[in-house]
Order: sequence, then structure tokens, then C-alpha cells
Amino acid sequence: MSEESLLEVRNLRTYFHTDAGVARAVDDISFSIGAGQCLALVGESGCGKSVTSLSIMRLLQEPPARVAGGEVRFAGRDLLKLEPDEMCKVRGAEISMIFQEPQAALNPVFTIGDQVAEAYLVHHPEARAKDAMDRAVDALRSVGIPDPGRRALDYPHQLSGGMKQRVCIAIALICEPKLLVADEPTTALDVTIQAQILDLLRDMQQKRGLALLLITHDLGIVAEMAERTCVMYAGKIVESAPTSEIFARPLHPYTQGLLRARPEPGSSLRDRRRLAVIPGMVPAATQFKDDCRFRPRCPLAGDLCHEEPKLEAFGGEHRAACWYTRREGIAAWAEPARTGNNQGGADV
Amino acid sequence: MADTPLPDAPAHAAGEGYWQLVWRQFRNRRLASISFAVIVILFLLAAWAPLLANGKPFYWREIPFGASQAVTTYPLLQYLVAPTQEFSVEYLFNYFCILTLTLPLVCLPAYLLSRGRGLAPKAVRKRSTYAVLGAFALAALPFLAPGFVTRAATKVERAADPAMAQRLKEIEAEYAAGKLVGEAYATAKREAAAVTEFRILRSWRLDERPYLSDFADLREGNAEVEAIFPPVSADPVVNTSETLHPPGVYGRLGARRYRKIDVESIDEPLPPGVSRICLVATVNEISGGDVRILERDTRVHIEEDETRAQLKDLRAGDRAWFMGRRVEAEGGGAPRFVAEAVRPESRPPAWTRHLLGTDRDGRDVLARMLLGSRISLSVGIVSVGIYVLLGILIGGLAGYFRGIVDLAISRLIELVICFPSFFLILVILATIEKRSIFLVMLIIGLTSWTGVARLIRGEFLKLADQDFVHSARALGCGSLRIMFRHILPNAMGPVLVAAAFGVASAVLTESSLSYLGFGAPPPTPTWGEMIKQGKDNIEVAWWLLVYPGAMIFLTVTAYNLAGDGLRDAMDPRMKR
Repeated sequence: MSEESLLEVRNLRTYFHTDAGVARAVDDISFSIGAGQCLALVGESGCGKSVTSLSIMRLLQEPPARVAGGEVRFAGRDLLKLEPDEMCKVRGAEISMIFQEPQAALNPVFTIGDQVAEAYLVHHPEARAKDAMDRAVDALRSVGIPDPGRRALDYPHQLSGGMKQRVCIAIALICEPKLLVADEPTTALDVTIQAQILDLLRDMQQKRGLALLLITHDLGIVAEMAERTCVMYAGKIVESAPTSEIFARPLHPYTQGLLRARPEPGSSLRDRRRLAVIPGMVPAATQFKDDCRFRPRCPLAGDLCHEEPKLEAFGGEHRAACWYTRREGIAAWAEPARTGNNQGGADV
Repeated sequence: MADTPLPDAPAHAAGEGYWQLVWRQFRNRRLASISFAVIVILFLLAAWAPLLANGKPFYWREIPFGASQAVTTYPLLQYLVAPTQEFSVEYLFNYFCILTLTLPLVCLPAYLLSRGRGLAPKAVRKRSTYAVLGAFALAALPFLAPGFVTRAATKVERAADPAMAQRLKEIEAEYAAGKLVGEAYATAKREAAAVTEFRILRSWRLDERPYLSDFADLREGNAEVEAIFPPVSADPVVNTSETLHPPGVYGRLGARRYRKIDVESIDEPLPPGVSRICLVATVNEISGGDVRILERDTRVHIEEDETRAQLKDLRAGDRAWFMGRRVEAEGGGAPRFVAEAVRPESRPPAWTRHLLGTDRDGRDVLARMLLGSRISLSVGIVSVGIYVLLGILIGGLAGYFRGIVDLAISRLIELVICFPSFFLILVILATIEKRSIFLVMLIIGLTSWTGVARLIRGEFLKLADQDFVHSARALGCGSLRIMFRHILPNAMGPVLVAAAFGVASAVLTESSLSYLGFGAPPPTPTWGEMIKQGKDNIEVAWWLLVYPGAMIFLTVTAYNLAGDGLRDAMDPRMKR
């Protein structure tokens, strides 16, 4: 990885110790983000995207969660080795996070101005309340909230979903962090608002040189936002490449499946073509075995797949973990899709 | 980005917070609003109790025994800033009492000054905040220096007894010159004072003064009492005192002025114009219509049949108040004192004097109920305050940290719940020598926190998994900040409802304890203690039982209905 990378995750393993056994929700993943870069983490539900982001922020409840190994190097420090109170100083000030549901992420009993100002006061305890409030109003203005002075006195329930997500972004950015972890920031919003929020995020990224770790299952957003993309499946990164590469030349059968499962622009309802599905479901995290985890659902699966594949470079920064990648077996997807086996298709 | 058209926020009243919404919905329920008003009125009555139901006069001017000076004090003011019994409870309510005076005093001029100047709403808000804070501070001032207030409110005048003052002065001069030494000096001083002592029946220390209302209350419809005394005379013969009583239940809500003159003997020539005399004396012997008094060889003649009938209850050694008039004997003989009332007794309610009657000791039931409301209301508030704080702390720890902490605390809660708390309170109170009302509050508080702890634990368990808590943690907030600033305000709703019900049950608990004789020590009036007294006299004096009982019923019902209303107002399904 490049020297100047801002965040570098190496061999991160996060396990959950449950009554049903050990769930290896994140198992040995590595990636890095340079300053000002945007990295997307893609995958279907339950593949460990959110756990990865929470592990980086160290926000998982321990126990049952346990970071079993690896490093999260941020600006030269290993976040996993910091004392809890040092970690508190990193959160919000250097790495911020926004969540999927803005209505749940705002405290219902305080005005949004209070909440933005508090985010500032947490890391600047010496600041005066009035200055913090002025900053909060500025922050609200910068995320495109009209009449921020008056809106600051509103409570979350008085705002629409998009406005609330803007407030969340204002809260996350008021201390000018270097990295923003956005965990499905637009999933709970309708499509037009999604576009506005994404515009806002990109705008902020460009203006402030903010690095963005974008967690999503929406490939459209990935194509629009991310410079590089990691595809996760069942706790592992199965493919990692610059975004254009992923779309142009997907190597892993899972990535190929995801791309085929998208509705094509231009395809109409009259066409009556079923969307391609990836048969089956992601196994429960406690059922992960030491083979290729995609094997039960993979149309290309063969004997080799009983052994775990490693991420291998396929030219440049394009890496994938599959024994059969070279076959470019995209054609194989057409068959299972037609059989109508659409129970539990991918939710992509 | 900012120029992108944004959807409007939903139509809510601008700036209306959660609690404003709850308040609006609360006000919409009639029963709850009435109950809330009742609670507020109860608190106001409790705050004004010293004005409404206290025998202490506004001012008291007297020439004390052996002194060559007249002293004017302001007993009510003294009591307000430095109450003598049940310290904190009285302090708290006295503070509110003074606050109800300072609030209009400060806020009204502030309002008049800023009216019509077209101030911005922000400036108005700022000014009103300052005015209210100022009123609070002003009300607290006298409590900071009660000694100063007492001294400032005591006026000492040069004496009206020049002869004795002269004699005392001479003695002092001789002492200074060395002519009088040791025992001789003391004897001379005593003799000089004895000249006055001969003439004065009694002098009281400040804290045991029987203020005029004490005996005035013994009489029913005693409109004459005010009129019986002449203007204070300069006559050194008598110990005169003049008092002005606040309007209150004693004086049927009008201020009253009394003059009292203590005389040594009823045979003594009385100051001109004095026709009525009060004697506080110990009965020595009763024969026929006459009572001989122990302290002086004085005979009191009881003329009225009604009053005579009460004599049969009087025994030698009883202290009694005699209120009567002097009758000049025919043919120039010594005048007699004719008494018209004896001994305190329980009187039924009457419009003329005691609205709700008096108890066995002649104490006004309404007055005692008003004073008792201070105890009962504060027991509710303080004990619930204690256990809500405890419950929040303990339940919060369990709900937030979970795991082993939760396990330990949950078992502790179950352990404490197993105790029948009322009997625990009884056992503790029975083993403690020095009982006070604070002990009762403390014990109720320390045994009843489990309900709140469970509520808070549940709320914390639920809320700790909410996204806004994660997001607060992602902002770098510490555990304490998340617990008490982010989670707690969201968890307060059910706790407030529980607290409203809790106050009601604490009032009941305190009444039960007082009823069983485990409450505050006897002279302190509490509702439960009054009911106990009523129970003992149920056959002869129904009013002793009914009114305090009705008061407890009213308070408990009001709290319960208000709690009900609060719960409904906070219920998201009850949209109104």
C-alpha cells in the first residue's frame, strides 16, 4: 500500500462470541484509504461491512464482540491499541461517522443546534457555549440547511429525513475530521434526496480534503462516488480494485453476480426479463468454514474451492480471491437465473 | 448545494420541544389539569402557612421584666428567616413564601419598565430571566444572615420606668466606684428589680412567649378581645405588649391588633380604661364558683353557668387561661375578677372563629392542617427525590454497562424488593431513639428505589442500542456524558410518571407512620398525627378525623390523577 495512506487496515479480524458459536463476522481483511480518497465497501446484508466500520471506530460492544487480531493504523497510530479515553479523542475529532437512519441518529429531546454545538464542545471543552452555537449555525449553513439560525432551534422531529442526514453530516464534520465513515448514508432516504446527500458528501470531500469510507450495497452510489472499491462477502474481501475496473472487468464470480443483478438502464417492465439473482443466501456468520465461502452459491465452484483462495493481483491494483477467476465465467450466470430459483436473491 | 430546493419541515409549532408538546397535551386533559392546579394550590398554601395559620404576630412590643427598656421585635419575620423547628422543611417552604413576595416585587417593576419600548423578543426573554433570577436571589438573601435580620428587626427603646432605671443606674455607679462589692451588689440589683417584680405577673423568654392569639383563640367569637385594651400607657406598673397579627385563619383573614397587659393581681389598681384581663395561672383549689390560683393568693370568680360547667374538668395543678373582666365592688371594696372562659377544649367548626374547629388542646384544626401540609408535601417530594436519584444511578449503571454489573444490580434489586418495605421502615423507626421527619423521608427514599431502578434499567437497555447513542459514542462522548446527557433525558418520561404516583404513596406512607405513632415527634403537626388524635376522639369530635382525612385523600388523588394525565400526555398513541 502507498506510504501516504491515511487509514490502513491490516488483517483485521472481528469475532462475535455467541451461544451458537464463534461468528467470524470480519475475517482477515486489509485495505487502505489515502487522504482525500473515497473507498467503497460493497456487499449484501450480513457480509460484515458495518462490523468493519464499527471495528475501526471501536464502537462494538465487547463482549460479545472481540477484535481478534490485526491493525488499524490511522495517521501513524494503531487505533486498536489506544486507551479508551485516547480513542474518545480520536472519534469525532479525527474520524467521524454517519449512520444509516438519520432519524434514529439524532437525539429526539435536544434541538439540532444543541446537538451540533455539543459535538464541538466535546472536543473543545474550553470553548464558550455561545461560540459553539455560532459554529453550529455555520456548520448547518455549510451543509445546505436554509435559515440555519432558526432551524438550529428545531427538534429532529420537525425536519425531513434528508435534512436530518444533513444535520448528521454537520455534526460529523464540525470538528473537521480527516476521515468520514459513512455507513449506508442514503439507504433510508428516497432517491432524489439520496442524490442531494451524495452531492453534499462529494462537495465536502473536495472542499475539505476529506477521506471517505463509504459503506453501501448500492452499486450506483459506488460508481458515482468511489475511487476504489472493495467487495466483501461473508466477512472477507473477495475483490478489490479501482471502481472503473470493478465495473469494466469484474473478476470474482460474486462481483459478477452483483453486477448482473442490477436493473439495466433502459430495460423496461414490458421486457419482462427477470433480474438475475445469486441463488441462496449468505450463510450465518457462525457457519463460515475454511473453504471458499462463496462456494455453495457459486456457479463455477469446483474441487479447488474446498481450499480457501487468497487475494491475488490480476494486473495493477486489481485483486481478487477466486480459484477460477481467470475463466471470466460471466456467461455461467445466465443459466441459474432462468431456472427461477429466486428464493433469497441478493438484495443488491 | 444550498440553492437546491429543499422540502419543508413538517408543520409543527416552531421550536416546540418534546416537553412543550407533553405540556400542551397534559393541559388538554381536564382532570389532570385540575389535579395539577390542586397540587399547586396545596404548595402555595403550605408556603403561606406561617402567614395564614401562625399565631406569631408581625410585631411585639413589650417592657420585659426587670428591664428599663421597651423592646420591639418582629416574631413572624424572625420565624420566616430562622425557624426553630424542623429546620430544612420549614426553611424550604419559608423560602418559597418569601419568594412569592419578591417575585412580584421584582418582576412587576421590570415588566412596567420594559413595557411599550418595543424590545426584541430576545431582549425581553433576557430581561425576564434576569428578573426571575433576581427575585430568587433576593428571597435567599435574608437566609444568609438571619442574625442580621433578627437584630435589625429588634428595636430597643429607652425605658418607660424611670424610677427603676434611676435606681439601677445608681447601683451601677456605686459598683463602679467600688462601694458595692460581690454579694452586696447582686442583692441590691435584685432588690431594685424586685420593685418591678412585685407588680408584674410574669415575663416570658422570647421562644416561649404566649402570643396573644394563643389565648384569644380559646374564645369563640371574641370580638371584644380587640377592644379591651387601651392604648399603651407609659404606666410602669404593667408589662405591656402590643401585637399586630397577620391576616389568617385566626382572625378570619383580617389583620388584628391586640394589646395585652399583664398584671400581678386583679386587686391591683389597673391602668385606666382596662376592663378585661387575661390570667395564665395554675389552679390551686376550686370551691363553688371560685377558683383559687396558686401563684398569687387570688380568687377568680366564675359567674357564667356555661363557664362554670367547664369547671368540673378542672383539677388542682392545671394550667388555665382565665379571660375576664374586673368588676368594681360596690361600696368601694376591692374589685373582683370575673372569669368567662376556662381551659382549652375541643370546639366544633364554626363560621365565627374556627372554621374547622379546634382539637383537645384548643388548637385550630385548619391552622394545624395548613402547617401539617408542609410536612406531608415535603415528605412526598424529598423521599421521591431521593429514590428517583438512587434509582436513576443504580438502574442506569445496570442498563448501560450490562453484563456482570447488570447481573449484580438486578439481584440486588430483587433482594431489596423482597423486603416488605413498610415493616422494614417500622422496625428501623422503632429501634431509633431520636426520630425526626427527615429519618422518615430518608428511610422511605432508601427502600423504594427499586421500581425506578427497574424502569431506568429497561429504558437504558432499550436506548443504549439506539443509533443516536452510537452516534454520540462515534462523536467521542464519554460514558458518563452518554448516560446522563444523551440517554437519561429520553428515559425520564416513565420515571416522571412513576414519581408522580410515588409522591402519592409516600404521602400515604408518612401518614400511616404518623398514625401508628412512628412519625415526627408530637408537637409537629402532620396529617397522620391529626388523624390519630381524631381516632381517639371520634365519638365527640368528628371534625378532628374528617378534615385531615379529606386532605390526605385530596392530595393523593390529585397526584394520582396528575400522574395519569402525564402518562397519557406522553403516550405517542394519544394524539390530540
